[in-house]
Amino acid sequence: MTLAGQLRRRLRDVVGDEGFVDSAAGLRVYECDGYTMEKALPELVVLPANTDELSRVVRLCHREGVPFVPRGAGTGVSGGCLPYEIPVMIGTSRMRKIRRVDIANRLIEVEAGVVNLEVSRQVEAAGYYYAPDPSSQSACTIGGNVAENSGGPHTLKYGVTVNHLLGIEMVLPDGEIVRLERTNDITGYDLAGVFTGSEGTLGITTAATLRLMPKPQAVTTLLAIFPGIVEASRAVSAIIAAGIVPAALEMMDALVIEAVEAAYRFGFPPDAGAVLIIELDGLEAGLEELCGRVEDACRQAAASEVRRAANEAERALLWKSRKRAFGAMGRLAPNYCTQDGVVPRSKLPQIVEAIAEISSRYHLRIANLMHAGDGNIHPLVLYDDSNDNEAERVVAAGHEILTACVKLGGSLTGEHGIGVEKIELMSKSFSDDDLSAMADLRDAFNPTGLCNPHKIFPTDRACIEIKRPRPRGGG
Amino acid sequence: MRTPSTPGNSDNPGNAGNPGNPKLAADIALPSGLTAALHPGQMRRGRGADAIDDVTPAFVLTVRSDEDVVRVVDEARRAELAIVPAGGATKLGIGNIARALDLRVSLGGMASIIEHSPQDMVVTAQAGVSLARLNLALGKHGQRICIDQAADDRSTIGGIVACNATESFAYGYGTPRDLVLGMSVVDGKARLLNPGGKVVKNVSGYDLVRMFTGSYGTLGIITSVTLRTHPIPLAERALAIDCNDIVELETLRAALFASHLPLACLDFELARESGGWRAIVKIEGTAGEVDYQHECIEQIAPTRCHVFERAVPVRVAGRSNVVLRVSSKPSAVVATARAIADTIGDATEMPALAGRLGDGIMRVRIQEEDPRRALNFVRRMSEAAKQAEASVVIERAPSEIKRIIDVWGERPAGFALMRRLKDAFDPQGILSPGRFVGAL
Repeated sequence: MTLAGQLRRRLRDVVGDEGFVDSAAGLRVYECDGYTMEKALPELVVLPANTDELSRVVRLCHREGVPFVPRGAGTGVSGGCLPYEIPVMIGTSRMRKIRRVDIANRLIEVEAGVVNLEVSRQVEAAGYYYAPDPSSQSACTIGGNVAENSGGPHTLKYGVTVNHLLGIEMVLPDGEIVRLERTNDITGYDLAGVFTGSEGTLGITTAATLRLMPKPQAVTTLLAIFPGIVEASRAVSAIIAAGIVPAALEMMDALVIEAVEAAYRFGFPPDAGAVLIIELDGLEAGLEELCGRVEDACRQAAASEVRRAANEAERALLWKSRKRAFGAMGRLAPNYCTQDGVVPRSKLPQIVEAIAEISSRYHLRIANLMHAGDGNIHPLVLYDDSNDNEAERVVAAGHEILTACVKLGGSLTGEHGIGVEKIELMSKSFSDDDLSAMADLRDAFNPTGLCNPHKIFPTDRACIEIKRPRPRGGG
Repeated sequence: MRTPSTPGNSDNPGNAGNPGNPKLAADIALPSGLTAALHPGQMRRGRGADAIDDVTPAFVLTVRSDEDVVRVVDEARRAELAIVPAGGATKLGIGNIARALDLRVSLGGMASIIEHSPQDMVVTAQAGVSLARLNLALGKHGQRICIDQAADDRSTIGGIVACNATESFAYGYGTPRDLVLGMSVVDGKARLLNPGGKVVKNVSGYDLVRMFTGSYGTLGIITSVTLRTHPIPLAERALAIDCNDIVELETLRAALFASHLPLACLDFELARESGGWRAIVKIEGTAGEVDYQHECIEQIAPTRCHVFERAVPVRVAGRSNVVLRVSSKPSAVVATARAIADTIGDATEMPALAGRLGDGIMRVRIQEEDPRRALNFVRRMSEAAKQAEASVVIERAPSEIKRIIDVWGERPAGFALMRRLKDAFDPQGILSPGRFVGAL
């Protein structure tokens, strides 16, 4: 499809020169998100400065029957904003206003292009923060967080984006602007809730009202070292069984530890088979007791050592090691591919066993990084793109892992989304009726199908050969 | 049997259609497909006691399985029979008068706890399990569902999720929307859907769980739900703080809010006996945390306030046939409560006023037999709430009032989308027709 000159001119009139990209070099930036296995160029990118401009852009596309795709910071890792056969990309990066900070009601309203971490910065001095903290939080934007229902390491205790969403302003696929409330007492269907995590296929978020959390009075971060991943998994179960809900409960296996240690030199023991990073927060009055019980649970699960972060600097370094683990993987192999499955946390030992079996059968090394408390696994499949056929094996191994997750009662994706990456696995996870119900929902919001087509559902997408896994991940 | 749903007729939803025509009810025969599929013991004619508002269903069906529900909806869809699902019937008073009511479908017989995995802190139960029974079973493993209901022995988990119902725990733990992970639900197209799952983190496809939660039986009949559980705290304590006047209550509220204490509940009530304002706080945690929070609250409370321990937060106060739910925001909740209390003024009987300081939701209850006086009361309260920028939902009222007023108030933003969802998931309008906002 080639856009008519008249539509181009009109779009340019709406957003001005500074919000209009159509040069070959300029467009290159937008050919993919963090999922780089598939690439496609939009014909043009428009960057509206505000909701009104964005609505006018969508109205024009709607009237002309031109498909469009929203894009935040492009940190997604499943190709949710891939402009495959989509001429117009609508970026929210210029919509960066903090609309209101209302500490008295513990909320903040920000535009879609505001960076996740910036939300917490805005309210830090008042003693508040925004809880969802995806690993990409210094770059990813709130609009994208809503589209993907983003999580992060601290979802175990505090939940994901949708649990912190008090309202959204959005532009429907026909250009209409709606403001949807999501307080504890909304009247009518939870439209904002069902919209969250719809990967940009139901409309475009232009602003969101977010719940602010009081910063906990005290935080302690523990590092527990285990001979292997089975023992560490057992500790996870024991902590939960003790009635403790840590703020975060993360696991790294020996391969991840090796890479992270080489990159950040935190001081992980070289012979560790697996480590848990356990963060406890709450009132100072209870923290010591909770720490003691967690330490007991770890030792009973054969932890060789449990230590507490001595100070804020050590805690920060520990979290840096964890959140930047993806970046450190380059030290182990030229390429890697991240998956994002979920299993019931009691099934962690089974999925680890399944991954080991898949690893040996495919002759691929697989490192394991997990939001263990949530049962959300991020297996990192290591490979070398220059080896013949290795990339295809990586994709196949990844799909086997996700299929194993579903068989164990879990899910294809905990926080990365389906995007284009996992389309063909949807029918393994859902019945035909479930898929048709989702299609009904899409048609109610997006009856023309112009808003971000060819995503999530296996139905209407031309077959793109999946050849190469993506080299970096998030989570 | 009924007038089909039309988007335009909802200005006066209670009057839409012809609810409660006894001749109509008696004329209906059950479709042969149903009489063949269900055991005779699962079907009976409706009686006066089965009425919802003043509409008596032609039949009451008791379903025992997902397949039963699929069959009932499928046959009802073919014969265009209107269904209202019912669990423990504690919330059937909420909603407009049904445009039609042929089948009251009881899920009380679907009362098995399907699976509790303590290590995963997840439980799956059939819709008809009562909250109390579920909590009793979870309690054996030191866990609970952080939802509270006044009649928890009768409130079923399916009904609770359908109404997104919770009370004081909303402050500390959110609403069922934050706790439901998955469900089985039969929509108006007779599809048995299984949205969501059994894991706490899941972004696979659209999250239809959120659409069905709080949809009041107008999009589907929930047959089972999977919920996140929480550990039972090691210690807990409820504190009442008696304030001398409403200014003190606001001072206390603001101070507690600013204190960042992780309170489980933060309620208030206008005490009937004394006419005074009282805050009620529930604190949970380790013994040390509870003692610490108790101490903090003693220090935070304005000096003249009286702080004392009490058993549990109490919400239900006597009989009431008119119940209004008023929603404000935390910073305006006390001002709203004051406006309501002032408007009550010279009411003959002291109404009950209680609610949540934490999220600004309160209820006003009265017992008023005279419909005209009841309507007058509702109108005055609604006006007072509106002045205070709060919204009102009529949770219970005599049918005379419901015929005149949409109990849900004004149509919310996005109503056109809601209508499209209703048409997509219940194209024939057989599920609780007319009961939800704007006569959805």
